[in-house]
Amino acid sequence: MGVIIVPKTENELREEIAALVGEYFSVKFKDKSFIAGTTPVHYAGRVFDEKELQSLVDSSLDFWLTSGRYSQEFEELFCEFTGAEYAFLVNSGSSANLVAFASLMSPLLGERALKRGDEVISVAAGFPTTLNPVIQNGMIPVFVDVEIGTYNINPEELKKAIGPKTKAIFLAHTLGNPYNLDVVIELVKKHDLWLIEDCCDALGSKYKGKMVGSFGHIATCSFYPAHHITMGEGGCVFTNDDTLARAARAIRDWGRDCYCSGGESNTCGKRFSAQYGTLPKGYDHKYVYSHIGYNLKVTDMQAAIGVEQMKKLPFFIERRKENFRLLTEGFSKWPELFVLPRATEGSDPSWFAYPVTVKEGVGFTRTELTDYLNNHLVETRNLFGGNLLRQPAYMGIEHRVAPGGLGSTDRIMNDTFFLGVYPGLSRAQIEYTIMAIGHYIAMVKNGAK
Amino acid sequence: MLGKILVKDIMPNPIKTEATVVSITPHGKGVYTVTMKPKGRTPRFKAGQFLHLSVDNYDPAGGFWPESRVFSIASPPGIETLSIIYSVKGSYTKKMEEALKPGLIVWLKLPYGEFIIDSCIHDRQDVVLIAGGTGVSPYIPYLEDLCSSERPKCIGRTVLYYGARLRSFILFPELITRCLNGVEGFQADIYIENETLDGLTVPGARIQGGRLSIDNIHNESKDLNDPVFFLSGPPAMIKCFKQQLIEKGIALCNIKIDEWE
Repeated sequence: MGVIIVPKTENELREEIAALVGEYFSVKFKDKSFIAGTTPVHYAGRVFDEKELQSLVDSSLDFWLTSGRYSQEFEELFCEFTGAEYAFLVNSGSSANLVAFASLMSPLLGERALKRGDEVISVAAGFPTTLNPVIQNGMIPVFVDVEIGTYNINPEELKKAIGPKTKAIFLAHTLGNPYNLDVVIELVKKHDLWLIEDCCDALGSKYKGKMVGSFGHIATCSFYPAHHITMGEGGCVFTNDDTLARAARAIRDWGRDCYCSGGESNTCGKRFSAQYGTLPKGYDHKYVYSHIGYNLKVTDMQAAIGVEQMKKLPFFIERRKENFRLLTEGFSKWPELFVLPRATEGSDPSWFAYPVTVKEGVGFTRTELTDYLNNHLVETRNLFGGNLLRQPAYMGIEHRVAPGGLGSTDRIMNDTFFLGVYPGLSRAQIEYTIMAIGHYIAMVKNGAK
Repeated sequence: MLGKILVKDIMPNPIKTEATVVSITPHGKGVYTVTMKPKGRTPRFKAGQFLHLSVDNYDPAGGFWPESRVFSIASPPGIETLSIIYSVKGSYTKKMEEALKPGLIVWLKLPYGEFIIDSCIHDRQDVVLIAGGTGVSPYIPYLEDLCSSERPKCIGRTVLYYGARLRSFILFPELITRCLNGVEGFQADIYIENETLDGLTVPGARIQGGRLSIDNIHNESKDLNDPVFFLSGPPAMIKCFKQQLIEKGIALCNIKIDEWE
């Protein structure tokens, strides 16, 4: 007798594939044993389980490729978490900064739009892509010094930095530590400025009980693997402002006025009947460009990973806080050697990392210590670009430095580094890190360095 | 976040969602109110915007949206359900009439549209709402908002002109009465085209027989403060009324229409 083979349905096949992917995960990724001195202690890394892999593969089976159902789901989850009205996935935190800043130049804003030559306040002790959209759009960055300990803008210096041409403040919450939003918001209101909150390193941080990103006009986030959640490459622009949301979406999607998603047409019901610019009436809305834009969308496969990561975010944040606490406990025995990180008053940081500044005259330098740690498989990082004005790309840029100078910024460039607090770190890895630092300090004290 | 800016053209991020039909209220002669509960969070929208509804299955993994029709959202923002009002006029609405039952899953995508009254008026400008039949739908959320205690009171006057063929087609009479009782300066004129007025009660409203007339509306609007005229209803009515308003010297920027191709 012949055997009748009933073809499997799409759903059955998907379920089988998902089960296999789960099995694959346990073979390939499950082993996370740590051997002190042999296994590296990374400063950051992807933390995931079989769910991310299954979601990624599920999306790939759709073969929709561009933004789709997972992108929509991610944006909804992100809005729920942050309380934002609108969220737009983009392909990186840097793209998010570009889109957010360019949105403030939107013609939809009329007289309030930022223009070439306007001044934008920022800091030099940070990541370059907070600054780059300002420079690329022909505006003048004004650099204000930061505080050692919080690594955020010095509020008193900020007050002095605002001039008649100042139109915006564009600041990152450094390493997850919110800046003094009371002062910043007061100045924003007083001088009618725009505020862009770069939350790339601060997803889940709170200031006086409110999520960062909910204070300014528009905010950004990054999902690069080192960040609080990841989708490989990815970022997000979020806002409560209808106009900025409209501009951000257009700038992300080629600058087009049309808001149809991929595979759709005429959702507005006016595709061939409206008048735009000096185009002929009825010119196809799909090809009407109301902004100077780019294509900065993510693929749905990236978003599929992000959906699962969002579900883990509350756990990730708690782990980061706990690791931060463990490091503080470890470092507390060396108060004479290091300036330890300090949460801004009124804040509850979702820490990106553990920044430490080596005090002056302690017998070793930051670089000597981090070289030692690196040789003992403990990764560290400098506080990004140090003083960006001393970086080759920025030495010739038009800018202004606030009256107080950039003394602390230079100090950070020379003496500050950070350790990881990412949720993949175990207590054993943190204890090993503290032990390695202890050994180094002992060597210095014994003159064996 | 810091203060919002009101402008035209608001529909930053439409989404697609499954929704379950919760109830269908017949108003007679093929006019229905359909109330739906979206799966998950109800998408945000603004009073006056519209949605796409499809009674066909949509595979989000496949990406291509099935045949659908657009309907103004006739429920206020901020509640769990979404309502539309439709009138059976063509093959698709006939299909809706046959298919839509409580418990049925439909697909929606929203929000769309620029017919957002709050975004079209400046401070203190008065509002003239002109509705033909189910064209009252986009005004319902606005009227609900007008009655809301959270609404700022420093707004201009609102006048509703609402015409329908039959008495039973005058929808939400209790909402109109609430506005008349609770909203300062609110006025409602109701016209019934093909029936006597017997039995139609909307306390506080002026009810009369016959059709909406731009001549009357224009005459009565002379005391209003720089009024903006909103037109919603059958395409022929919108086209004709718009032209008449232009001929009466109303600036184009003060005529807002709810039209789709």
